[in-house]
Amino acid sequence: MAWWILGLVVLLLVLAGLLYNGLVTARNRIRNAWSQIEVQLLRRSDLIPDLVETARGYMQHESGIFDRILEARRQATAAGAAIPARAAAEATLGRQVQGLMALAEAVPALRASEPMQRLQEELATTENRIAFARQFFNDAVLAYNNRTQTLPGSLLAGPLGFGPEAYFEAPAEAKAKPVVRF
Amino acid sequence: MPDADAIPVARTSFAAEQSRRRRQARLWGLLCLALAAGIGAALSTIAGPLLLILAAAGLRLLAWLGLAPGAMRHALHGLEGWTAGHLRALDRGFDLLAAAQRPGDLPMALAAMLDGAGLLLPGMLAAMLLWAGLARFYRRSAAASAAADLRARPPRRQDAEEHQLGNILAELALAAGQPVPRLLMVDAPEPNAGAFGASHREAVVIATRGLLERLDRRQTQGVVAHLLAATGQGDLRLAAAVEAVLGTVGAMVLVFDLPFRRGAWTTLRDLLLALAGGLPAAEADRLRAGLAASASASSMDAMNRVLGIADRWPPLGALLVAPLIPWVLLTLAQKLLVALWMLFVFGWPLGLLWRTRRYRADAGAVELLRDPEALAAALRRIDAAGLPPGGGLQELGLFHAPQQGHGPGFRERASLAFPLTPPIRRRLARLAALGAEGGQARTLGQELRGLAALRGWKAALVIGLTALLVPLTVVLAIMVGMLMLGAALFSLMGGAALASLVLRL
Repeated sequence: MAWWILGLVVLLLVLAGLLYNGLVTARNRIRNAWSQIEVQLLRRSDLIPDLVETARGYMQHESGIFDRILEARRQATAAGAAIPARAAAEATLGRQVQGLMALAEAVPALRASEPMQRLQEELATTENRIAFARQFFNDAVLAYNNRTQTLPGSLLAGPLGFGPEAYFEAPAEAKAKPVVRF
Repeated sequence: MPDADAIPVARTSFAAEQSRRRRQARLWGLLCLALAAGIGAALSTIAGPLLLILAAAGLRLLAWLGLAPGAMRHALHGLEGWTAGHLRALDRGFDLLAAAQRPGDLPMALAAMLDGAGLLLPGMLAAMLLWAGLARFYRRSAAASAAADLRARPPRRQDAEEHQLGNILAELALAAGQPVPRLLMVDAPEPNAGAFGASHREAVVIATRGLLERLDRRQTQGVVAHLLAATGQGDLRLAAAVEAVLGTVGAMVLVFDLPFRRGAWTTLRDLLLALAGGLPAAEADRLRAGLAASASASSMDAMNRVLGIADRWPPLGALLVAPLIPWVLLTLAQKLLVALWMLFVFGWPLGLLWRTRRYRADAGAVELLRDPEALAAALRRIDAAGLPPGGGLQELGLFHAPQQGHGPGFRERASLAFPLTPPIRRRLARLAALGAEGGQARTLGQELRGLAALRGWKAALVIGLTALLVPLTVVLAIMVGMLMLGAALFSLMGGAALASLVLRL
């Protein structure tokens, strides 16, 4: 009889261990996906001073937008790894950059300049990579949240401190299209 | 561009779905193996007895040379007993079939014939081994062979457009959750691109300059998304498996070409080297072309040229050619048999399999990009421009193989099986179903449903035609089937009887 109980306890411990490992793996996948996003966000952030320098010479009358962009960039950097705040700040930055690109379209000399064309391509590819990396991140979050909120994972997740994770998504007001004034 | 508002709700991730499809692709590879085995069975009705006779001659020669004569004679007896036993079983099967009165008698007759069909086993085994060897070789040499055929070069990073293509590849590889493929460029004006290689981990994407010049970024993204979806779902492995089926056909009839074409000897050498793992990957295209040539109708020209000796030097030439006549008849019968079996039995599952994979890759690309219109526009541009030089033998890896203006390689394939790659209008129709514009063409299912919706005299016409055509088609199919089975059985029994006679000598 005692052997049976001992066997049962060992079995339960093994199952709990497997469950725990699964939760940790899912959380690490989120960390990995997050670092993918950060790489791409950093890439965009690094492009912005170049972009501002290139465009400023052609667009003296539009100096307001440059300040707004640099401010948005500073805020995005300051948000760090707090995901909802960072997502909102990055969405604002993305909107400002799009606004600048739209304004730059109206300046033929700037549009035709070789550094601007290069920057445009780099920004386009970076925006795409951010979008795809975000899809990956959100998939990873979804898988993790499913695991922690369904049985049997939910039995362990609470006591061991596996809380719900946030998706990387822009708040509702940030989804509005940029308004371009000429 | 992915939809910015898409928040995953309850979807399986793209990467997980692709890895499921890769596992499926391995299973579909087994279908290719089965097709190769079937071709081996069909062809061994003639080649099997021939090989038996050759084996007997070889064993006898070795015995005569004094090389373990006892063992040779023993092997000869075993071979003779094996052939005669199966032949008797086949004979008995025919007798039982002829004497059958009730349907209940049929299983006995069929069982006896199945027993006799063991004669086909060596051919099937040989075809399966050939297939496995060729599939392995094609898989490993795919990237190098495509690069050599299309004359590809590394991209120039300082070139803005080639740099952009590299960016697109990196983006979409990130989206698909796959390693970034290596990029190679081709200096050809025809827009096209293809993915080649052994697996999705070591894929190579080859694009022409025309692709950069004629397509905008959106369309190029569509093409690249298709290629990545294709590699991700395991199509590189499957392409080698499909090619290996065609190669097996060529290899099985290659023996018959040896007296007529010098090229056949080169191909035989290449084939043996490839199976032994000693053929450089860059020469894979020569083997490919050689095997395709031996199974094609144009190999008959070489035969005609040799037979023409009889006309040029009347008395002596005729004497020289006369011993070749039985061989010529055998060759004709064998090649006709190949063409029939490929046309009616083995060609269409292969084409169906490959075309389905292409449609799936299109659907995968749409899933990645949510932009079916870009894919459709790219397809139309690429189709209008024709195939880049050297693409004829690589069309399985290309994004799209335009059907006009193709090189000789394509025609060689087309004679073996139906065109393996899907026609553009079918792909456009499927893309239209996913949301692209301008898909006037409809899929077969839509066309049938359209027919069913007709009313009045049109409906009567459709019903009348169906009533006429369906029985006709069925009768035709039965007749062709009987003819092919009859020819196969006849040649098998005749050949085996001849072989056992020779063995007994």
